[in-house]
Amino acid sequence: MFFVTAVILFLAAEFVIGWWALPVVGLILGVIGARRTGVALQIGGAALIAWGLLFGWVATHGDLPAFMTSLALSMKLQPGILITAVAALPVLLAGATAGLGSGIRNLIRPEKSAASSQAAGLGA
Amino acid sequence: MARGLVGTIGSAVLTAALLYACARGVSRAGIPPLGSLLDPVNGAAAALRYGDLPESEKQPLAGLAADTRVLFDDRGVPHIYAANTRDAYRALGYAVARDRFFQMELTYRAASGTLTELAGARALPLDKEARRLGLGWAAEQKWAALDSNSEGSRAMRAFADGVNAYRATMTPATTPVEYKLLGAQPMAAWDARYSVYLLMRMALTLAHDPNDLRRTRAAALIGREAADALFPRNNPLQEPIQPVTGRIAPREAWSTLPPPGAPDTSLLVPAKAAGVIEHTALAMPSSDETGDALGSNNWAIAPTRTASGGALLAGDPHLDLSLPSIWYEAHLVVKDSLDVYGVTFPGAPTIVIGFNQNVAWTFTNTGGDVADYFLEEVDDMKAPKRYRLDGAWQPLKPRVETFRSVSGEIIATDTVFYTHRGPTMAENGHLLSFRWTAHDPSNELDGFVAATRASSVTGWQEAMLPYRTPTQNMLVADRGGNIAIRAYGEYPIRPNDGEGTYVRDGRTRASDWTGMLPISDMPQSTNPAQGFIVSANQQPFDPAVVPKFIGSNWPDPWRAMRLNEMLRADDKMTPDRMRQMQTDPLSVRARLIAPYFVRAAERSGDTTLAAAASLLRDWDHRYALDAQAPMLFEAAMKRAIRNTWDELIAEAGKPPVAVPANVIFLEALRDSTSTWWDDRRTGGTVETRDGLLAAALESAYDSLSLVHGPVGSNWAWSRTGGINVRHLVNLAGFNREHLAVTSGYGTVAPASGATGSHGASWRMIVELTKERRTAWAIYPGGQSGNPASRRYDDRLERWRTGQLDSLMVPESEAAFPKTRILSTLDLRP
Repeated sequence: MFFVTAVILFLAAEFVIGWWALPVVGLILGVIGARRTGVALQIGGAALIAWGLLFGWVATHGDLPAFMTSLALSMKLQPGILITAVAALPVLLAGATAGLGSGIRNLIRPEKSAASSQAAGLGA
Repeated sequence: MARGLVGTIGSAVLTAALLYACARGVSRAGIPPLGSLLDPVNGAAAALRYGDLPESEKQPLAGLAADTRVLFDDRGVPHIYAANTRDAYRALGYAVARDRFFQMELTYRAASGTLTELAGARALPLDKEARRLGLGWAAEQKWAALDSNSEGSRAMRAFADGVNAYRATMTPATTPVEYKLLGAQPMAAWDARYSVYLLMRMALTLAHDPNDLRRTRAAALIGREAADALFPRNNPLQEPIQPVTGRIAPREAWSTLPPPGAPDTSLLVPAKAAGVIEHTALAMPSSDETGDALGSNNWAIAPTRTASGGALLAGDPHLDLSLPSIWYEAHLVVKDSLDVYGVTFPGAPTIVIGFNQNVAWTFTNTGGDVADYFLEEVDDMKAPKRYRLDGAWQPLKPRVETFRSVSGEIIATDTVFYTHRGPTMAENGHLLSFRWTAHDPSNELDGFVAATRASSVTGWQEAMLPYRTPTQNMLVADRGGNIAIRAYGEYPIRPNDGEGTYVRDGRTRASDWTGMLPISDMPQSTNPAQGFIVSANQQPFDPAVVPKFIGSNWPDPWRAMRLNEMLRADDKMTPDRMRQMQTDPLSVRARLIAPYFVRAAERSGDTTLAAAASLLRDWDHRYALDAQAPMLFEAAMKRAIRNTWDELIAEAGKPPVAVPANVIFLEALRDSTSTWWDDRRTGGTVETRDGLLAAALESAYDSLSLVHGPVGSNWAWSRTGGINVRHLVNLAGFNREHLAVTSGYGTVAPASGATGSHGASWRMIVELTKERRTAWAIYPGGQSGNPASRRYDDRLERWRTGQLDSLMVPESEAAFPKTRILSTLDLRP
């Protein structure tokens, strides 16, 4: 449920604040889910799924692979590198901020979340 | 606890690094802000969501007097139905901005020298050059001198209203992808005066040819007599724009080239200064670089020589091809007042080339000499404050140019000094001032706006009288069957010899211009007896008939000769035949020059040369895509020209200071004993014409055999690279390169070679009969500047293959075929 909620939150926030949804939602969910095992990875994965769904929606409007290839060439990059960056960004940014959020919460209230903080993915 | 702290710090560091990369990018590595670029909703990929126009849209537009409807047809062309002309310009501003906002900003910034505010410090050299040429200074002067009640001024303001109405609707998602790649924001607002900057940019492209500087450098090496012969005032093959009554073939006026002379020491100082200034990045490339591909054509035919009995007009201005195109196609209709269709520069408020219900018009560049350089004497080159004029010191006016970064910080300043003539450029320890007609106050838009409403050739020509620069051969035809051409623009009157072919002495006012030629003295012709008019950038007057100086070193006459011969041969011309003429592959240049190579090869008796000669001998001089001889001929020409004009190479390993036109090479070919055939770099050996040609042909043949193998399909002209149509800022993924087009050097559709990107920017044919107007046209690219849009390059293939689109010109909304409506835009006050 937490994971699905995270995906939905990322999706909704994307339409309001764009890419800032990654750090903002990631941080909030990290704080909320600080006691969860591997929370940073879960949130990074949820962000990845959300971006994947959004790119899937964008792909209904045109030839996304061709456009991303053109974009990569325009940036003097191999297309694979750009695709990797697109996939890595939500995982890393949402995951890192989630880890930061859960870490801060565990530092503030260590007695309640010591166990989970050690297992909190990037934050542990 | 400690592990948790370390992990948290690690997350914080990673978060900070990613946030920085997402929000700011890494400019040193050329990485734009990744967040706004990669974001699926608002990032670059959002361009896909806005690739198609919405089926219908309603938007407010402040300033409109009444509701205005814009119907986009299935070619993406906006047909604007407005209650008054200013509303039409407002709607045009909105439509153009929606499709081309980035292009508009880029062009304005290139002209104003503010590219750094869009692209950062890497654009500083271009900006400095624009400011040193006085583009922004001149645009400011023109704007200040404008009558705010003039039609042009009002049109610019109305157009700006429309642009800004669109700008107000722009969201992160609809922001053009180029901004995201540059890490920049679109300009906050479009000022009406920016349209003036765009015209300055066109003046730079079309009217800034540093011919004087090249000639000065050449004369410093080979003497004035030889320089004047290699870069002559008059072309030795005359097929002028202004027809000569009774003439049915080009006039030949060959002379014998004088041998290279001693260096003209009086020109060494200006030549040294000229050498640096000439090689500017912004200036129009010389014909050596473009292969005459910047050449444009237009012609009109009187009803007596057409199949329909109406007038026919064709035009194909050749410019730097880009994606999106330099042109934007539109149709503006105001009931009982305006019905004009054609193309405009994104940022200009009205149609530039096109037609209305009664009149059609198109342009070619007249060229000629509209700029002079003056070598100034200043008090102190390191910190100049004064320049000497008629024995007295005059103050130099400093203008401090400030360059800002994307974030608005000042990144550089530059002081440009002005004399009474214009801006100065200091290079190599000397100061040259620059007098240019494009710097003078003018209001070209008054002419363009008024011309769109003309109902006859005469009315159109009167409407264009305010036009000043760049000088254009304006060809016009009407439904009454009249055809006419006139060069519009300013040509300076100079003292003494009346010519401005060398860097002039800045120390005296006696060097200054004394006025401008009156319009009655301009090249022109109305309803000539021959029944047609052709302009292809050739020398406008035959000097044997009109010995008036308006320029020198004119472009080669090959295209004009070919067009004239095709028109003379056909007295039942049709629009489709005109279309074929626009991509006619025959080169008069090759027809006249190739036989010299063949004869030289035959005389040599060499077997390799026999094969090469055979290829050229059997050639019909057409640059068809599958023809094999053009590749050999061009390779041989390149070598022969390089070795012939070796005297113009100032330093070993450097390119020549100037290269004479091909027609001068032909003039040299006619004289087998000319001393120009001797390659001075070979020491004691004295080369002959045939020896030089044979060697060039053999070298070309061997080299091509090595690269392409034996003569065969690998030698096809289509394999030389074709034309490139590149994105405005050369973003590789958005370029369309190596397009095989039927074009070649000296043909009606000249090519600029494998690395070139010049060609026919807007091919248009209009038939005007008493009953109707019918038009066909195309440009390479598409209406949208969005690389993710189908409309970005949807015309490219048809353009490549020489096809034209039939233009739809509904005179009212009611007459618009519903099946052809792509999108409806309703603009409300």
